[in-house]
Amino acid sequence: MERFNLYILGIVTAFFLHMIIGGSCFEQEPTKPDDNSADVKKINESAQQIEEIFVNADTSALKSILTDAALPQYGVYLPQIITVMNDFGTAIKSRKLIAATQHYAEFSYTAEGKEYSFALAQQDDGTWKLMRF
Amino acid sequence: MKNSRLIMFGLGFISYLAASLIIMSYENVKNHTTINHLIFEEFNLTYFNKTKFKNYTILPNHQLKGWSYAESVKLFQQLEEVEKTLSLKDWIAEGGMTADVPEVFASFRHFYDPTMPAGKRYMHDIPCGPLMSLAGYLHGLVEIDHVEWAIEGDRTLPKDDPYNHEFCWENGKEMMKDAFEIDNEEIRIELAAGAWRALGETLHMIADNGCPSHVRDDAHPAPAGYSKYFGDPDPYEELVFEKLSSSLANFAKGPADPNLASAISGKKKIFDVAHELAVHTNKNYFTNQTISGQTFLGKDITPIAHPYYVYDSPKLNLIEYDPDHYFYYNNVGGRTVKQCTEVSYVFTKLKLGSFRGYPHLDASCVESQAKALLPDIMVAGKKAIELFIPHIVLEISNADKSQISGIVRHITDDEYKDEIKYNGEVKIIRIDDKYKKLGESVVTANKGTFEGSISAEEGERVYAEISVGGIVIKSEPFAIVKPDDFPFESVKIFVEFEYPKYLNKNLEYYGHEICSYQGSNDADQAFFPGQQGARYGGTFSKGVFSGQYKEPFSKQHKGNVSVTLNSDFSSVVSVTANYDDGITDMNDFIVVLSSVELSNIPVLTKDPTYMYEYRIEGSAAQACLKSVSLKLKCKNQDKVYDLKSQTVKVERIIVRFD
Repeated sequence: MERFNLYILGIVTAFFLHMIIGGSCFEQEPTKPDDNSADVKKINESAQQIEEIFVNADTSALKSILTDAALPQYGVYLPQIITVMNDFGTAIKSRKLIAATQHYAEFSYTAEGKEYSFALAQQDDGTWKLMRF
Repeated sequence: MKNSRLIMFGLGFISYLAASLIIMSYENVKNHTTINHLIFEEFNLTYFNKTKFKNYTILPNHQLKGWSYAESVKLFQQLEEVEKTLSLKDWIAEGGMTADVPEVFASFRHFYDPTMPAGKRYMHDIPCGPLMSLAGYLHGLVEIDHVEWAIEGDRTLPKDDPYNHEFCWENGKEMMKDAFEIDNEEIRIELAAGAWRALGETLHMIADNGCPSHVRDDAHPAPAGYSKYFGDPDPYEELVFEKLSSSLANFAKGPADPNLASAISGKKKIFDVAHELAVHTNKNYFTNQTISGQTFLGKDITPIAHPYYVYDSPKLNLIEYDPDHYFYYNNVGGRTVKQCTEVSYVFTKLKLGSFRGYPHLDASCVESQAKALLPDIMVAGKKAIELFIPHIVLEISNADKSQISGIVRHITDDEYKDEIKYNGEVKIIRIDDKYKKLGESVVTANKGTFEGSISAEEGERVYAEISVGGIVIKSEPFAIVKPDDFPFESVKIFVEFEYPKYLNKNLEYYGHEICSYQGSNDADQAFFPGQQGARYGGTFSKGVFSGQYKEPFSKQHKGNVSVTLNSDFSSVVSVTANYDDGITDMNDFIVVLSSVELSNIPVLTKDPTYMYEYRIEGSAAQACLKSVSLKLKCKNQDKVYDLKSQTVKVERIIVRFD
């Protein structure tokens, strides 16, 4: 019971600290309703980095450019994906950024006469990772 | 021991920080203001075609001073309430923004899963796991769905609790009612501003019910970098409100689902409108993380979000597939909607049998969904505005050159069950026969009735007008006429009933079973007061013809009549008539004191040199009968038979002045 009380005390302390510190911080940076703050430069830089990893078939870096949610989806196929990394990297050289928001970016590209797309999601360090390809 | 205490304290501290970080990551200030503007614009284009709004003018740019937030913020302690002066349409748009403020608090209350039982339709998705439940506990109750929150707020909290929903639908209606009833212009304006803002907050909910992730329990916090626990960003939410926001106006003009439009048109309560739209969206649209079914090549797809609770519809194997482009389509009310795709260059190259990559929504699917959903949101949103504005009718009861009186009548409905009794100014506007304004004056309404002095001329017309928070309501014009403009001194009242039944001492009789009707074909009818009707002589004054029974044969026959006509004599507003045969030797029965009340009988013939005849027949006549009491006394039997008025069928009504 004493341990539980301490746990709650920790929560309450953090809550009050948040009220004091968090409130004053956010007052200076309010969210604006029409703020489309997509960082296109960062998105393109990340896309370029992704392209290079695929073109070079850098298998050791492959996991590091997938989002946490994409990893389990694509992870089971990684051995196979490695075999076509260069093809994909080469194909996305023709990419065009068709949509970008604060958290999401989508590129289209053409490969073997067909149009495809891949999507990136923003990460906590400001970089963008592959969420779908 | 000391260490374990520190650990428990630290755990609590960290739990809160983690939970807060996650919740704060909800970036849900979107362009709801744009959608609210679009809904209002759509409403503004067509509302006057509705019978309810026949005499309404809504002023979109009417300025109102009220209360809102300085800007959108995440937390309660950041809230800054400020006075703003905005137009009516901008207050509705403002509500689209304020519904999301403070963002963290609101984000928990903006989900509605119509497939769940009532009371359980709130967000259950991953963010409601132990960590988020803890955060929810700290930030407020989360077991409330968006429809309930938007309509009534939290019923477990006092209405004026700061954590309750002040600008919910019910409070908004109350503000609207008060705006009509308060006799203080400054407060009236503030109430109206609040009412429009509350409508805007409800329209935010309507728009969310037309957003698949909000009705398919697909929480989309998209906290940057935390996709392992909360998934990647939702393409629909991300793209519709940011990338496609400039296209929303064009999307909104598209055709709505006719079945949905038809279902919504008959709704009388906002809850039913909201639920109908949510069911429609849930049933017909995928979100990126709730795709399920079997792919074209037979691969079973399990949804990423809540795989333990899979929606019955749509299903990949039950919708169309385009094998050339790898897109899944369905038909939603005549619109072809691209729901998802499994196109992937990498998986195409890999040739992994039936697996071509997980189906997903790309930008083209989002655009296709939005094109179909926006018109549906417009339909539901317009209906919400229609239900929100009360049905008020202004009627001038009487007017002459110097006096006017009338009523501001509220027609109650399922949303406004308590009568609104208007207090305040009523403008009286004088016009000529071509609607040219000749002048105006002001009288005062008290609890829904008004009377006062005017200065008008014969031959002019007047109409009354009230204005509340940008809603202007007018009466029909009323003609100022001389008392002798009505050229007739007698009126005949005649009502015919079919298949009458009579009661005597609780026994029921058919017409042919009583008095002289025995064996007669005429027994299938009854008349008020007799087969020839009754003629009354009298005079016309201030819109009312009053008279007594005009007896051609015997002075023992008695009766009175009062007929109210509308201002241009185009219809009989009401009739009250009674009649008593007294004693007669002419029939086997006599009519004992009987009476009839009638209303709203349209003119058939209007010729001042000959007659004004008002007549209605067939099924439409039934609605004109307000009451009837017809008693026949059989002379030989000394019995009185009462017409069984509850079941009487009216065949014809005639009111003829000549």
